[in-house]
Amino acid sequence: MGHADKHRIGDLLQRNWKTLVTALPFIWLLLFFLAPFFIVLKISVAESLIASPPFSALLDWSDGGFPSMTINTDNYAYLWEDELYLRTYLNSLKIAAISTLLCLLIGYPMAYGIVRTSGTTRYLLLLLVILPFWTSFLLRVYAWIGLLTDQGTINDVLLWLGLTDKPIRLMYSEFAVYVGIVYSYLPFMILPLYANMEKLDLALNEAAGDLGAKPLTAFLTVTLPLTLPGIIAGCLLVFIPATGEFVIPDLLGGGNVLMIGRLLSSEFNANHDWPVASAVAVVLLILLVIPMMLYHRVQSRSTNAQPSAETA
Amino acid sequence: MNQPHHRPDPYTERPWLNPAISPFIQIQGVTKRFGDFTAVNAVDLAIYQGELFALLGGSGCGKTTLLRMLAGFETPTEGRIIIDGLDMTEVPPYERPVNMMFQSYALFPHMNVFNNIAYGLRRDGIKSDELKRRVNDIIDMVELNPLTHRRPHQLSGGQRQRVALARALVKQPKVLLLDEPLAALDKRLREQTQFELMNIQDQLGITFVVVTHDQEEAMTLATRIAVMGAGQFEQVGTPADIYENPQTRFIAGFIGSANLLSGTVQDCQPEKGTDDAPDTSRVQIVTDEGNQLLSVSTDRVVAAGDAVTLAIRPEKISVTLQDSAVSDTADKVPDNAPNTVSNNGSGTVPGYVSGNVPENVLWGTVQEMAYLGRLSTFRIKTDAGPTLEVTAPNQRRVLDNRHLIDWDDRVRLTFSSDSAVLLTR
Repeated sequence: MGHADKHRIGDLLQRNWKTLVTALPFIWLLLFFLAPFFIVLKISVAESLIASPPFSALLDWSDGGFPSMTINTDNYAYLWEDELYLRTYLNSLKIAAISTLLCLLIGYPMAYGIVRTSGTTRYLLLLLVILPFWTSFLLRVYAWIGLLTDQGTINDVLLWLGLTDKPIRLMYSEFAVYVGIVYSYLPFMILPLYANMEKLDLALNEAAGDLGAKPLTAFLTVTLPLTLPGIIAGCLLVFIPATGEFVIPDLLGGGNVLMIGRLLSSEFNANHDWPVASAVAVVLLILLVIPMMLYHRVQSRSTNAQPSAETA
Repeated sequence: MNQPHHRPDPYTERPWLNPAISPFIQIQGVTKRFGDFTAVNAVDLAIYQGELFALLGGSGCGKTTLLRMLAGFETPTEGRIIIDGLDMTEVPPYERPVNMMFQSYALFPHMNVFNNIAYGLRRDGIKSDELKRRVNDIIDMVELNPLTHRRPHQLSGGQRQRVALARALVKQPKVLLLDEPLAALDKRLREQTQFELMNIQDQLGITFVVVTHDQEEAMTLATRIAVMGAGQFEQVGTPADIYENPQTRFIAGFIGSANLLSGTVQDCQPEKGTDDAPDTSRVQIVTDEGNQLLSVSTDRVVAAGDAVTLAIRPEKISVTLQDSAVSDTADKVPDNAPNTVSNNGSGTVPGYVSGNVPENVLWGTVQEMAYLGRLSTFRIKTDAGPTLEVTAPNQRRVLDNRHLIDWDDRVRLTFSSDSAVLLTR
């Protein structure tokens, strides 16, 4: 009997393995992403208390059998009323946008160059792009402190060359934050661009040239539109995490650079105001869901366009 | 020549024979090296206006490199390329009066059929009404009307090929370059498209240069063919020149199939030519394998003792069953008397009979037979030694699987001396 049962389980697995394979990660996401999100959402509509945990409960069971639900929207109103939050959000978006643009300007030619090489050179160059991931992100940001401080390598070299007589202030500025973000997120721009450009048929450029397009025109009319999915993917992969970035503005920007990640952290750790911190996180998430949905739409459109329908 | 009114002017059909016409495309001493590798080696070629010229060769022979130099994608290491009297050697592709149809078609995947075709005209600043008219004219010609709004990935292979052709033709180039234009199509479509290409070329009078590895395609399409091997031309000529009068063993083996028999010249007798035919000589050769004596007429100069090759096409050998052969014809040869040279080398040559009867007669046994429908091919082991490939049309229906000539049959092979070609290289 046990034998027969084993058989049936095996059959069941065999028939439903596809469902299982997709269901498992979904369950994982549900448990460890969606559930915490709802907890954060719940805290964001609570009231701040000096207690443990430092916020009021969503459901109050004290009134007999029926729980009463209290939703407190003050935290969101507070974010709107205090100008600091709005400015910080906008500044975060600005820094993320400019960093994304810088990554694109640096990463696009790099990816294009890598695709144009072949064989060992190509894999070596790709390896160099991925290589930084082998070291801790935090460590690499700390390394930038060593480069950027008044006594850092860059200022030492500038002083030694006589280009300046006193150290230039590089650390704790927006400049340092840009350097950190562009440096850290460049691979996320290059890799999707590379993946997209690798599929590009070089004969298309030749065809454009053959039909009378000068190199710049050929780039604008053929290469650029065809690499647009890669550009969008790369930009979103840089923009989304850069907006909420905490480590880089904290370590390189210090108190001089307003970024939402830092604000959230100080709200949570220094002020112990969990509900406001949660509200900050929820608004950030909503801000970032918009570009994410955009990305998804572009992705699904490009995958729909891929299969070569043989319509006679 | 006797009835000039029945023949077209030889010069309009064959401009390369007319010394008064200068070539439209001149390739002068062109060499292309990639590092240590020489893809094209000191090549000279003249192509005339209105020709459909084929560059034929196997992969890596340099034909595509030569085409890409005509298009401007590669610059010759040495030599010059002149198109319509202008030196184009250093001119970039976008300034050449030349368009190319790519092997992969290279259609722009983000544009529909209309915009693909209009791309070249837009680059020339042609707008609105004229643009529409010219694009629609060419779309009519290649019969793509219902598909103008489709993207390339929504088209079949044959339709894509038409779009690629239309896109290259719409600018009315002086020269159209076609890189393996039919390679991606299936056999039936390929044959149909071949004739369409020829019609279009005839209609527009544009000079076509086609690169192909398919000798049958080159034979059907081209006015002239340049056969390439290892970066150089092996032979340039009309399809009939190349097929019937190959200059080298390579050509004889590359174009169609040929039986190549190496041997030694035994005797060379000059023959006076007639009005129609030039002087030739009748050469007797002895094959290396089996000492078979064979006769071949040639316009080459050879002397006794020269090492040569005799090439004979499979369809130029006639094959008959031994029994019927003996009763049909007068040249009675006993089974046990193969046509080998007698040891004393005296003047009597068995197997060589002058007059109307075939000059070369061999006996053999069918080793293999392949029935291909309209014809059958045989591999026949001759009594003298060499194995020959022979094809014969199936003029009678094969009923009950009884082939007229089948495995292990004894057969008689004959061919005349002017059916074979004598090769010295």
